[in-house]
This record gives sequence, C-alpha cells and structure tokens, in this order.
Amino acid sequence: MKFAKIFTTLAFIAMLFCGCQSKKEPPENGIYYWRTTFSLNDYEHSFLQKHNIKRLYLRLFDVGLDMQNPNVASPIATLRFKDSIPQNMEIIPVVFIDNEVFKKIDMTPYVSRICDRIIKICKQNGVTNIRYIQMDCDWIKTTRDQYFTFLQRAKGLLHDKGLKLYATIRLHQLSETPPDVDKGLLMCYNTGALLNEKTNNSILAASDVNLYAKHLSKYKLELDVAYPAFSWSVVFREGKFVCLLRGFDTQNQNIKLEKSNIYSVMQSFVTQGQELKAGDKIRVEIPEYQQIEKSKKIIEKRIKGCSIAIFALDSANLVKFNENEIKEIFNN
Amino acid sequence: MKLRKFLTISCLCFTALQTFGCGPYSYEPSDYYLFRLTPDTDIYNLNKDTWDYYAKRNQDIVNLNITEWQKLVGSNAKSNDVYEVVYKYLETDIARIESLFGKAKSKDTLLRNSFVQHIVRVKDKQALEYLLFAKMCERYRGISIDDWDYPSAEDLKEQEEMLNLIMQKASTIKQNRFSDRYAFQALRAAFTFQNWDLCLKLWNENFEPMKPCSIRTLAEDYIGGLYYRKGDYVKALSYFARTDLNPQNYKCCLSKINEKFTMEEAFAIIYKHDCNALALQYLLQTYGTALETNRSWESYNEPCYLCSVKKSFHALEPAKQKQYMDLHSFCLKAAKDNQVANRAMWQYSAAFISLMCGDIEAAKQETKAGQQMKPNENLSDKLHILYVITEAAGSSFEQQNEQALLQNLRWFEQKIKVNLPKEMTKKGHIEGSFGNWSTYYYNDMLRKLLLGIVIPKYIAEGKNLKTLLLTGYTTELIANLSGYRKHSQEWNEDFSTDIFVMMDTMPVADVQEYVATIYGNSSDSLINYLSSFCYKNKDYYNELIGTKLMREERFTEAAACFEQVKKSYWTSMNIYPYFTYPIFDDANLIRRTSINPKWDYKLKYAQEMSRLKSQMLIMQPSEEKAAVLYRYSLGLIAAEHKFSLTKYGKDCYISYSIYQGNDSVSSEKIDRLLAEAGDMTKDKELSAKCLVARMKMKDAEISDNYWGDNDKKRGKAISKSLYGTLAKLIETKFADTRTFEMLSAQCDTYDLYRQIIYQKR
Repeated sequence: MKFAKIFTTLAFIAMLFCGCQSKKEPPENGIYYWRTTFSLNDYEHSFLQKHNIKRLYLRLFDVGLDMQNPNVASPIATLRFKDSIPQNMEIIPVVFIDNEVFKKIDMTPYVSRICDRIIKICKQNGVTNIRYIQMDCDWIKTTRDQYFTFLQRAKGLLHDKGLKLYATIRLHQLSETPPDVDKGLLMCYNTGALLNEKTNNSILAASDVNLYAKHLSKYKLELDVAYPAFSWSVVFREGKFVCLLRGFDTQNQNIKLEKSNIYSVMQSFVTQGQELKAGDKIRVEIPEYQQIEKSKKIIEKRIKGCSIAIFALDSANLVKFNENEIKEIFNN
Repeated sequence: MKLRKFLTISCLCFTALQTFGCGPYSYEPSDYYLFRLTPDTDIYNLNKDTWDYYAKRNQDIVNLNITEWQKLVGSNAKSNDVYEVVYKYLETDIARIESLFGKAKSKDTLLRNSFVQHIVRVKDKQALEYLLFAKMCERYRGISIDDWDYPSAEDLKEQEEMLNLIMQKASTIKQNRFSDRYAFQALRAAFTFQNWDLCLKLWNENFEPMKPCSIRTLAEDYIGGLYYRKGDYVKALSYFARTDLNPQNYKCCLSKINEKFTMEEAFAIIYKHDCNALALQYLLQTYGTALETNRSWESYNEPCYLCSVKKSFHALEPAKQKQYMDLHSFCLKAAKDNQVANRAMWQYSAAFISLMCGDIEAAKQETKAGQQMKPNENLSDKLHILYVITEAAGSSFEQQNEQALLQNLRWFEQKIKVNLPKEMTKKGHIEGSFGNWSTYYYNDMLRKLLLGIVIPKYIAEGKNLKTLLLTGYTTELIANLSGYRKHSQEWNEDFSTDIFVMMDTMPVADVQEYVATIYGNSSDSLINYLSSFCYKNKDYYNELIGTKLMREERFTEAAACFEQVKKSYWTSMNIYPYFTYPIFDDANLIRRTSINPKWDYKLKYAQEMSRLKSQMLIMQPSEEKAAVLYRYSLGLIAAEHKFSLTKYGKDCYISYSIYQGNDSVSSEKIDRLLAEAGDMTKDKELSAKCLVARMKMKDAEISDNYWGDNDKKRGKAISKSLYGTLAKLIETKFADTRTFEMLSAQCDTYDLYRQIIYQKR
C-alpha cells in the first residue's frame, strides 16, 4: 500500500513534469517569398519539391508611413496572388514593419488592423494551414519598447484567434531581451555595414556571425534560423551610399570591373529609376556558400534541431548555388 | 558715450529688425521674403496670401466650368444657378428635373433655378443624363477606400463592374456634347481604382490633345497624382506645376524629390524634361526661401541685414554652400539658354543667390542683366527691388544718392498703394498689417531696404534727424495709405513700432527736432516727403518727450510737455490703468499698496519732482533738506522700479534685456541721495526710512541671488553685502523706530534675510 502510494505520487509528479515541458517542434525546411506578386516558375516549383520545403514564409505586405500623411501608417506593396498557394505546406504570413513608424507614431491602433488584414488576405486568397504569423522589423534601441508592446498586443490578439506569433530577430538584437512572442527566427544575414564603402560583402561574413553568436546560449526564445540566398548591388558616389539595386546586370556596357566585386561606372546611365553617374562605384554582393557554411557551424554549436529557412525563393538568385549546397544549408 | 549707447541699442534693435514688445507683433527679415517667384512665400509654411491665391485659382476653374456649361447647354442662366445644379444638387434632385419636362408652370421649387428652367424648357435630356451619371460617379467615388481594407473578390467584382459601366458609357457616348466629361468621369473612376494604365490611356486619347479648359486642367491634376503614386515625383511635380491647384501637391513632391535627389540633380532632371516647366519655378522658390530663412543666431548681431545674411551663408556646411554656388551657376546657364522662355527668372534667381552669399557687386550686375531680359511686369518689379537693395547695400553713406532714394521711395509708395487689398482700405487694418509686421510684399521690401540697409548707415553717421524721419516714414506709410488711423483700433500699436523704439532710445533733443520737422516745412525734398507720411499726434509726442526728459531729471521741461497732453489721451493710454503706484508713500516700500489711477499721474509727478529738485538746489543742509532729499529719492525709486513713469520697459511694452538695463538715473545716485539724507537728519524715524529705502534698492540681491541650499555660505555673502550692512545698521541703531517695526513685521525680503542669516528655515 505504502509502495503503491509512493509509486502513484512519483508517477503523478513525472506526468506533471512531462506536461510542463514544451515539446519542440520537429524542424522543417522553409523558404521566404518576398516578391510583390505571387507567381512561381517551373524552377521554383521544382525547388520546393526537391528540397522538401514544408514551410513558406509569405510576405503579405509592408507597413510604413503614409506617403501623403506621415502621421499615419499604411500598408504598402500588398502581395498580389497570381498563382494559388501550394497546398501541401505550412504558410507563415509575414508582415514587414518599417522601423520609422515606431519612431513617428503610436502603433497601438494598428495592431488589430494589421492582424485583421493578414487574416482577411489569407481567407480571400485561399491561404490555409496557418499556425503562425510573423512580424519583421529592424527595431533599434529607441524603438524597442514601442515594438515590443506592439508584439505583446499582437500576440494576445492572435492567440484569441488560435494563432501564434513569430518574430524575426537580427544578429545584433541577440544581446537584448527577446520580445514576448511564441517563437523567433534568427536572420543570419545582413551582418556587414552596408553603407560603408570599404565593406566587402555586407550580406554575410561568418566572422561577424561569430561576434554575435555568443549571446545565443543565453537567449531565452526558441529560434529558427534563416540564411541568405539573395544578392544586390550597392552604389556609392564619392564614398557615400547612393542606393541599392536588385538584379543588376553586370554586363552593362557603361560599367567596368575594377576588382573582385567592385565595378566602376564609366558613363552615366539610368537603371531601375536611378541615375548612375560616371565615377560611381557599384559593389555587387552575392552570399558565398563558404560563409554560409561557416556561419551555420557557428550557429549550430549553440542551437540544435531548429528549422532552417532560406531567404528567398527567387530562381535568379537560387541558381547561383548548386543542389548540394542547398542541401547542406537545410541539413541539420 | 550716450551716442554710442543709443547707437548700440538702435543697431541691436535693427540688426534683428526686431521691435521688442509685449504687443502682438514681431517681425524679422525671415518673415519678409525678398525672393518671390511664386505666390507661396514658403511652400512649407503657407500663409494667407497663398491660401487666397489658391482659393482664387480653384474658384477660377469652377467659374470656367460654369461658363462652359452655359455654352454647352446654350443657356444664359445665372452663374449661381448653374453652380447650384452642377455642384450642389443631389442625384435625387437631378432625377426630379426630368419629371418637370412639359410642366414649366409647375410650382416645384426646383424651377426657381434659372438653369433648371432652361433645361426643362428645351427638354435637354442629354444634359440631364450626364448630370445624373456624374452624380452617380460621385457617389461611388465618395465611398472611401480605406488603405487597410482588403476588398473581397465580390467587392472587387462590384468595383470592376462599376468601372466597366463607366467605361462603357464613356466609350459609347459619341457625338455627344458631354463626351469629354464622360471621359473625365471614367478617368476619375480609373484613378479611384488605381488603374493607372487606363488613366494614362484616357489622358492620352482624350485630354492631352484638348485645348485648355476646366476639364483638361482637372484631368491633368489627376495625372500628376498618378505619377506621384507611381513614385515618379519629378513628373508628378511637372503636372502639378501646370495645373497649380493645390500647394500641398508641391509639398509632397518636393519633399520626395529632396529625399532622392540633391538640389542640382533635381533641377537638372526636370530641366532636361522641360526647361520651361513651371515646376522649376517652384523648386527655385523652395530653395531660395530655404537659403533666405537660414539665419544663424550669431548673424543677428551683425550691423546690417546683408552682413547678417552673408554670415549665415558662410555658416552653412561647405557642401551646402557648394550646392548653392552650383545652383547659382546652373541659373546663369539657364538664363543664357535660348530655349528658356523666362530667362529673367533664372537671372533673378542667380542674382539673389549672389546677394545671399554677400557678393553684392555680382548681385547688382546680374540683376541689371536680368532687367535687360524683358521680364514680365511682376518679375520686373522683383528685379527692380533687388537692384535697389544691392545698390543701397553696395554704396557707402557718402555715395548714397538721396534724390535716387526719394525716387525709389515714391516708386514703393505707388506700388504699395496699387496693391493694397480692398479689405485693408475698408477696415483700415488687417491683423499683421501694422505694428511692424506686414505681409504685403512691396511694403515688406520697403521696410527691408530702409530698416535693414539704409537707416543703419544714417545711424552710423549720426544723422539722427533723417534716421528718425526714415523710420517714421517706414512705420507709418502703409497705415497712411490704408486709412488705418481713420478707424478705431482694438490695440494701440504706437508703442510697439520701430519709430517708437527709435525715439525712445535717441537723445531727447533729436526727438524734439524730429517732431518740429514733421510739423514744419523744409527746403529738403526728401525731408518734406518723409515728413508728409510720419505720424502726427502732438499728445503722443509730448507724452513721449516728457517721459524722456524725466529720465534726465529735467522735470520742469517734462511738466511743460505733459501740460500739453489732453486728458483724453492720458486715459486712452494702455498704461493708464497702471497709474496706481503711490509714489511718495514710503510705507509702500515695505507693504505694497495702490491708488486709483488718475489721468494727471505723470504730470503731477513731474511737477512735484520739479519742485523738489529746485528746493534741493537752493537749500542748505538741514532737516528740511533731508526730508526733501528723501522725498526726491522716493520719486526716483518709483521711476527706477516701476513702469508708467520714466520707462516703457519692465513688464510693459518693451522687455528686451538691453532696455531693462537702461537706467535713466542710476541706483548708485539714489543710494547716495538717501545716504546723504540719512546722514543729514537727526530724526531717527527719517534715518530709518532712508535705510529702508536703500535696502529696498538692494532687494533683488536677496531674492534672486541668495537662494539655494548652503545657508552658511549664503549667510556669509549676504552679511558682507550692502543689504546686510544696512540691515545690521537698522537693527542696531534704529530698532526702536516705527519704521523698523514695520520692516520686521511686513517685509518679505527682510524676513528672508533674517532666515538666511540666522538660519531659521
């Protein structure tokens, strides 16, 4: 009898303990979709299948200051659905919020507007299989409180609707207290100083990751990780940042390769709505696989069994990696 | 010393061109924009002129539309009636009109409208059909599309259907008088649904080839909006510049353009697109105004306006300076471009930038060149003003040509007269038009020329009479031309004007000469001209001169001036309610009391002080003399510490720090008189009173300087101060006097002193 009592008590305690422990979700391969029209070409369809992508981070819209009334926030660049969403994967709707809005206005009234809009867009476009909503914002110290309050409110609202809140975390934010969200996604890119002409590649440098990774072990939020597969070109004029160009054609006759990834503009021309002048420098940045590999090792020393995502689903950039490299990126 | 003092004060007054006062005005050069190409003086701070201009501009479009309607329907109905139908009637009203066809004698209220009568009489179904359609479109457009809304497929379908309906109508309407208006409704609908391709198609096919008319202008404005939404701000600006219906459109475009382009780049891009784009005029205005309003604080201490702007320019970052110099070069280049229709505008802009950089000679030459470029009348005036300013700025005093100055002043006078708004002459005053602040360009420029450039030269040469005449003229001209003084005004602004400050700080003899001159005749044509406009009010001048005389203790002469001032003038003065300080009541030094204001307050004061002064001069040391000295000192204390006697400052009209420090009679002198009286008398009570009066003079030291935490330190400092010495004296030698009893019981400052010394806090 005594033995039975002890056994029952111990079993009860064990059950409680098991119940208290949150189950970590099994890792899934994911990829971001960041274009403004949802439409997949054959390569992209095939990519999703080949690499067993089970999670699609789908940017629905940005939130920024209204063009005509900077005291008001408004949705920008809402995704247009040309194709239907693949049915066999989890969709994580993403909203990118410009940090400027937290500097200039009180975002309290916008929490419900943003959440409602996300749900409406998903409903009307057959986006199902949603468990999480992701908020993405490059907050800084001075906007942290406002943004975290915003997330807290959003979490409450979403929980009421049976959804969870997911937030992006940048490497430099690892030293800060994590926001009150259900899960975070560590953006393992944009590690370098974009605006500095002397930076070689601002997209990813493992040495930069190493500097921030030490905070991971103490970071009190479950994290997934995203690695870069995008490229851009950074334009400088007299040492000062001018603009970013995407999908820039390095075969342009008006430019000349100066060294490694730096081009000089020989003759003024206009591209993507920007006028480039003679003498401008263009730094073409493409993430190197070796840097991703090294960064992954650094991260995985500290985070085990997390889901991996790639930014972003765009055949023009993905073709720069071979299949094995993609496989290795997803391998955890 | 006195000359230097008033010169300093005057210069400091005028370097900022600021007249200090607690009145409703303030004016600084940045309020008066020299550089004017567009109606909007500052695109980011729209003023009344601008709103009036745009209200008129939009009304012009409405009027044009009404005229077009009258022609379309062949009606000479009253414009107001056409307006009512086209702009105000609801769908239901329009729908009712058709039911009145054939019932011209119906008693329906709609038939009171002459336009409706016409439509009914001629049975103009086409017009009615269009009006009904337009009202329906308005209804659909009026449904606000919240940015945060995400229309469902059904919503989109309905909107698409509506758009198709509108489009169908627009395309099936042929040989219809209203086909262009149907097309306009289609454009509006397409814009609402953000169908940019369709908008552009409609614009290109229907409106671009049109002759200027109301519909074309309105359509063009939508196209400006389209390009703005698409992010092509340069193009948007060029459209908005042509329609010129809403200055907010410029604000939005320019702020976006500024974000993306440097100054020179913005100009170059638009210029390349269209060298005659009206948008360039607005860009020039924006940058010109930015340069003009960029004033560093240090620059306000410069002796003249142009020295001040030069200093401000050189305080800009080198990169910014270079930008403006590049813009200057760009302007000169554009002025030489034969493709440019308004070359004078570019020349004017270049000259302006030269002026702002302090290169007066270049500005002058460039202005002269601009005058040769056949400017229109408006620009011709601007160039003339710029030329006058550069010439005045570039000449030394000796080179000043008073005849040329007189000619220029007459020119300004005419321009001000002709351009005065009707409301101003009707009411005689519009807020901001007098009291040193005017938003009327020609008057502003006259003031800038005289107060900022010419008068400082006269001041520097000690030409006080002409300084006063020029200042008086500058102040009074617009009041004169508008009939300001014929109407009663809520606020007496005569003590808030430049001429008042000038008179208040000049030697009294100069003011007397000025007053005599404006009432007399001179052989000097400039003097006669200026005098004819100066303010004429003997009460005003006598009161002012009397006050100035009192500051110099010339009480007899002051009384003589005050005797000429009418009782009604005294009681009309703003300070009349403050004639309440009981000057010779020494109990007031300890415990504040007041009397009822009397109209002859200052006169009685002057007369009493005159009497006392005369006695002081002839009396031998005696008890009587001590009493006279004491009473005289009380009178001086009252003048020192209270306004409404010898000062217009200290809580009154003028509160700038220079003036507050302008002691008419020094505290040291009063202290000496009181000390002399105290030593002279054997009357303990009088001695105590003298001490108290002296302590009162040092009152502020205790209240202001000895406040804080460290009582010991403060106590030591106070006990060493004069207040402390006097307090000790009265405590030790006059403790048995009634005066000391009152001091101990009622004087807050003395109480504070005791607390600090004896640390009883």
